[in-house]
Amino acid sequence: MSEASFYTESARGATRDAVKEVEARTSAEIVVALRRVSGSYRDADYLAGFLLAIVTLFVMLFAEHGFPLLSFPATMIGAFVAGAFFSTSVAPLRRALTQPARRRAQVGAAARAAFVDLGISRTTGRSGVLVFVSLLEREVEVVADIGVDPVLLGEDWTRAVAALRVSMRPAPTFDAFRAALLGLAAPLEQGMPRAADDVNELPDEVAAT
Amino acid sequence: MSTPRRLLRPRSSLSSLRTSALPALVALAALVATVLVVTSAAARPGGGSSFGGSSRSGGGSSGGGGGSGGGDCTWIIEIVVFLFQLTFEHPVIGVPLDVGIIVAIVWWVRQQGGAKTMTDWSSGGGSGGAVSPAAPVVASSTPSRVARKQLFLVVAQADPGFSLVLFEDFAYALYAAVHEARGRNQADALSPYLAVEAIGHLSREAQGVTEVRAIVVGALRYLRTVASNGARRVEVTLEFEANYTEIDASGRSQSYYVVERWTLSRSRAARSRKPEMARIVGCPNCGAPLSSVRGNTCAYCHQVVNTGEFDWMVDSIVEVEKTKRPPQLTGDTAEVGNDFPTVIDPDAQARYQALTRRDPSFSWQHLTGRVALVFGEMQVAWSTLEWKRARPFVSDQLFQMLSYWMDTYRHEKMRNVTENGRIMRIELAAVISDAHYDAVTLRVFATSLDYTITDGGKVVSGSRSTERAYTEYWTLIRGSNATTRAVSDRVCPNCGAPLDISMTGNCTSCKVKVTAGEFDWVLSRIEQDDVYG
Repeated sequence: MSEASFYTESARGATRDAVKEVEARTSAEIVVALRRVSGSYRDADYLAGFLLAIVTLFVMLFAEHGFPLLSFPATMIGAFVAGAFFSTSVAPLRRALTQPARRRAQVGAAARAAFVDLGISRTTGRSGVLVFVSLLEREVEVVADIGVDPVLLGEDWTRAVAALRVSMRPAPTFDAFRAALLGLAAPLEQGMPRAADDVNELPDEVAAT
Repeated sequence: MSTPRRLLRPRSSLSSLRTSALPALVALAALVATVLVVTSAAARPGGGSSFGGSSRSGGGSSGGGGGSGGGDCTWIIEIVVFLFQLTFEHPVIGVPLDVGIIVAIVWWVRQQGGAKTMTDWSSGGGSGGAVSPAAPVVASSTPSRVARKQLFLVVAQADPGFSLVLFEDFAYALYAAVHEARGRNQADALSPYLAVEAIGHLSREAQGVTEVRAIVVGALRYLRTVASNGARRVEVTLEFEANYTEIDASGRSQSYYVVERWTLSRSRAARSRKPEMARIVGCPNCGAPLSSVRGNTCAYCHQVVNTGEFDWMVDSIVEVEKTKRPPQLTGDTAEVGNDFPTVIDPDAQARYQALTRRDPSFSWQHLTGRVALVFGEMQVAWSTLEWKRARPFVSDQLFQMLSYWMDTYRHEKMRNVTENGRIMRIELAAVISDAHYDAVTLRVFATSLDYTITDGGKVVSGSRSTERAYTEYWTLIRGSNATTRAVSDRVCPNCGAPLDISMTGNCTSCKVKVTAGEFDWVLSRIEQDDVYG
């Protein structure tokens, strides 16, 4: 699965190197955070269970084989539970049962929470940029601190951020993501050039969270 | 404050819980309703104890699920039906088989996703919710020189005419103007430069005070530079170390030593003043006298001027220390920082080279010669309390500070004497060139005899026999258009007449101001090792 490529040691190392490469050109501080999922989506699981239960009901009603009457309640409940449980492990099913706008909102909220939890704002120039990747939703959210002015960075920045999101479609591939991450360097260098005495205030090392 | 790790895990917020629970409840309700309908249908005459398939009774087939048509998926349905049948007719076999199939499917799916190794990660330290200790604390740990340089870089990016030298001139002038206004209880007259919070602080400090005078800024440090409000504004926090004298209603005067932190901000779209306007505290937009400002609008330019859109505005004033103590003139304080490594700006050499390319007559030899001249003249002026000797070689602000101390010593009938002073070596620390000035910071290693004596000749501190080694960071400034070779002789750099400078810094022969750096290097800042680094 393409998502698995994000979890390899080589991916972590490549991310660290890409962050260093970007920060070598700009005073902005880049942090990349990877999450398997940014929401609960329990409702989607319930919906999957319900649909499976309905399908099971129709099968039991119209199949040639007869079923004891008392088997219906247990079978329905069992199908519901099985469907819900199955949905927790099958990301495409969860995506199919949720609205894209809802997934984007979920990722946005999780990204902002991670911005606080990871201390992205603890830079002297308030120049932190969080690149938040959520694989189930196939979304990338870029959260920049107040010292990073999107207006100042211009259209190039907008395109670079859009390229990050595109790297998750139709399926996330790490190489595409890495290339898009490096694409942040040019607009950041233009608007926030690195000074010779810039201090790397947010470590580039990758660690589990 | 560390944040509980659980906040990093996806969990339902209250709103999403409501969102997710409702469909689930609807699904369950529908399921139960379906079961009840089915159950009640079974109670109808002819429903029997088993129910399934079509409406046939005992045979035949009609409707879906049978073998008519749709043959592609029939075998899957048959397997599923078989499993269901096995589960309920032979549960001892069927249930474990069903469980095993479900577990196998889930295991296969997770194996495909590499679930065992799929641990969320992040760069930036990824400390599981706690803030990385490597991330610096803003403000107090940032060296002044770093925050100062950051201010220059951030502001000059949008305002090429910005000059740190002129900004500091303005800051000094504003500080004095604000406290003078405070003494008259007229701080609100400076509302174009003061936010409401700052005016409130000053009003409280004005209680019982009728005048503030003899305002001398001893040191100005940069604590923090931030681009705020989506980087549309620049915010800088300065720390003033100063002395002033307050006169109360009964005419009594009291001197204070104060440390205050001022936070100033300005729109990044604002443009810096011309050098000749740097110290004028007038309308932030057009420079008209402040008396022309009615409310928040200038009567001349008709602009609302108390927004920080045109010039720096003081957002807040925090009093760190205010003590009724006279200046400390005696006491032996050990030198700190002599053995510190020199703090050298990474850009220093490159900018120094750029300076020499712009002014071929500029050289290290002449610069250090100028430093030696300034050093020598200041030693004599300081020891003899003759300000005239130092006046040509120091900026207005530095001279004001030196004068204050000289007056204080004189008032206390003492002198601080330095003898046999000599420079041991000079190292380049930093160079900043802006639209109007070049500023070169040097670390000066020197030694001298240093002692304080009364008018009667009694030594009250220091030693007349043991030399004291010390180092300081000296910043010299010069106008960016100046190309005159650094002069080591005591002549006016403009007219060449023997050097005779008035209190205001003007040559008494040509009347031109020669102490602002337009012609030659003048000493602008002196910083100790523990402050600079």
